[in-house]
Amino acid sequence: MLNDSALRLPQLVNEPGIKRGWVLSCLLHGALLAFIIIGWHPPEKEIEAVRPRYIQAELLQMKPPLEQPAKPAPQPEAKPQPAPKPAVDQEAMRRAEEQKRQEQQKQEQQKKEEQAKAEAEKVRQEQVRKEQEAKAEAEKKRQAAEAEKKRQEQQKKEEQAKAEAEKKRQEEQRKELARQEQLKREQAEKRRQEELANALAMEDDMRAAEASAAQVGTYVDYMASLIASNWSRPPSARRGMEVMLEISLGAAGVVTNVRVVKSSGNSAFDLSAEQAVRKVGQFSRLREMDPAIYQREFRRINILFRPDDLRM
Amino acid sequence: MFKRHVFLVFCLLTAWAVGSHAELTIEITSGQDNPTVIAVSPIKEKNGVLPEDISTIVSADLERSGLFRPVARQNMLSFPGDQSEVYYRDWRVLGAQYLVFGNSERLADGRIKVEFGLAEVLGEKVMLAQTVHGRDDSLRDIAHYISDKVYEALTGIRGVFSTRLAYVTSVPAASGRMVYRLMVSDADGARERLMLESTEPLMSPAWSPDGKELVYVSFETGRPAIFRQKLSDASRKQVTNFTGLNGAPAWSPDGRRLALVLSKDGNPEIYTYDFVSGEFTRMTRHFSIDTEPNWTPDGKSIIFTSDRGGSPQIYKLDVASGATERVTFRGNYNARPRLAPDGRTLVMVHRDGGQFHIASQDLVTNDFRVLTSTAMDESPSVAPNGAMLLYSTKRGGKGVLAAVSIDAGVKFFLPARQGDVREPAWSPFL
Repeated sequence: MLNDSALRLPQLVNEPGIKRGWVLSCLLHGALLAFIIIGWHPPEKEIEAVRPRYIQAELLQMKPPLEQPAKPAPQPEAKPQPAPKPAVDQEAMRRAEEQKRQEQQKQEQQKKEEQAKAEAEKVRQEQVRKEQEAKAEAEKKRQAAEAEKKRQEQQKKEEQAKAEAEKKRQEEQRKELARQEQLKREQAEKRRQEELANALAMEDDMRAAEASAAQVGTYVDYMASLIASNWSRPPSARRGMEVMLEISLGAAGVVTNVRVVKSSGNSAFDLSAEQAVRKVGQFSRLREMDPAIYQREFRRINILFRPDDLRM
Repeated sequence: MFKRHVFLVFCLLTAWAVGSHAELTIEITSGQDNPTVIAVSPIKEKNGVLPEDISTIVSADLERSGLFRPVARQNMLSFPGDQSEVYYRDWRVLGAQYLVFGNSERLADGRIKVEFGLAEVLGEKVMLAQTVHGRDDSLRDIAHYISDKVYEALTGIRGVFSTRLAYVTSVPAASGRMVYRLMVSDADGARERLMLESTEPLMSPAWSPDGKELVYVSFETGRPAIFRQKLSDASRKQVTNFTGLNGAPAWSPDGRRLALVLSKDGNPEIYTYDFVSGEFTRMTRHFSIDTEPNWTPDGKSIIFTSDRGGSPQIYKLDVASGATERVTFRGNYNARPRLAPDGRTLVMVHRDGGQFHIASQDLVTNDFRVLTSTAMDESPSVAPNGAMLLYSTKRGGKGVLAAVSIDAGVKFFLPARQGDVREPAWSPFL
């Protein structure tokens, strides 16, 4: 069945009226298709063609090409200048006319020549001007170049100077840096040495302090025993009594002053302590000690009297 | 705000205290207690020689205390009469720490004016300057007064040079019997004065607290009896006349009572006798012997000797309650108790290895100490300043008086008398 219907279409084409319409339709469709594919650009092309070219008009200013055609122009005019032969009457008239025409021609020619001359002069002047201009231009160019060269040279010099200065500066900076570095190093070294010295001094001090303490201890014992052996307590002295004396020592351990700083409340007890120191009078062995320690520790001494060997 | 200020002040004080502690401090805890060297320059007599050498008496007083060593007069370079004449260097070279100087002037009315001063030689300053007046017969009093002032200034303790001693002497008489004498003298033994002489024993003299009377035991009636006698006019009065023992009278600190021993009830017991009411009050009730009563300084207690514990020991009796406690425990013989004025130091006769010594005991610490090195010591009597005590002992077979300082540092004998000297009693401050 299917074959039947497919086969039926060609049958229709065979009809003569339908055949023409089919061709037309095909053409129309093809034209439409082409139109669609190619596109439609109707008047735009014409407008584009009419557009004037303004850019080209500017070129009219260029004049130099005028000189060449102007020169040959007068020569062909001057060549056909035959002497006019006067005709009788008519000739004369023709001659006069000719003369007139020639004169006119001559005048014209002259005018033309003058014109040409002026033109030429103008051209020449133009040329000169142009040359001068060119020359000036060249000069200017040269000067500019020279100036440029000079400037460049100057610049170069300056740059060189600058570079040199920079170099110098850098050098100096480097030197300064080095100097500072050196200084820093020196200072660090100095500090280190100082620290070392301090440490050493401290150690010395400590050792000295130890020695001094030992020395002080020795002399304190000496003083204490000397004072104790000179101390006669009054019968009113009792255990628990305390008197603090401040003694001042002058040169060579001589007792220069004795005063009660803190009384025991028993004046006789205080007095006995004071007397013990006064009786000693001079702690002669203090002369043997380091004067610095003596000055520091022994010029003014507190002495505490606190009997603990009393029965009551 | 206030708190902060207080705190700041505290900080400052602390800082100050710490700062002040930076100074070296030496501590002295022992001493040699050597005698203090003192120079007693002769009193410069402006008009007329005095019958007594005041400075010699002063010098001897001070030396006898054991605390001073006087400079010999022949070594002195000058005899300053007053402060302007003192050249400290002169005394320093002699090693003198102190100088006593002075001058005397007999006034128009016969009185004698004495100016004296005490100077500290090393400190070069006058510590004491006074003027005293007297008569020819009171020059010793003036001397002792000066000694007292110097002693007190230098020792902190009131001097006892102006006090007196009472004691009993016994001298064999031509008849072969013993003659007993109650004597009173200056503290230095000078100006001895007879209070009573008897062929019967005299015992146990004791001073009234005002120092104007004595009580003692006399056998003059054939048996022991207690008498009181005024020093001023030697008038006397019998206090007890009981059968049996009447002994060991001790005047109470307030002067109103006596503590004494009576055996009227069969056994020696401690009694008190009230001078005003005339009443006797029995204080002890024990079958053993209770004797030798002595008042504590506050008058509230009586210390006495009793053998109630099997050996003679010292007991303390509370007068108000009658409560009794034993005080001594060292050794097997402690007797004849006396208390120092501090009420703390008890002195007694202590037997140690068959020898009798004077010993002391601190009633607070119970520290016990034998003070004497003599052998037959008895009857200790403490000086009113508590620094020294007198006792009697035997020397060369003779009874003599001796003194020892309460710390045992000073010991000396009083000048020898004819016969035996016993039972010294140191007067109170006069």
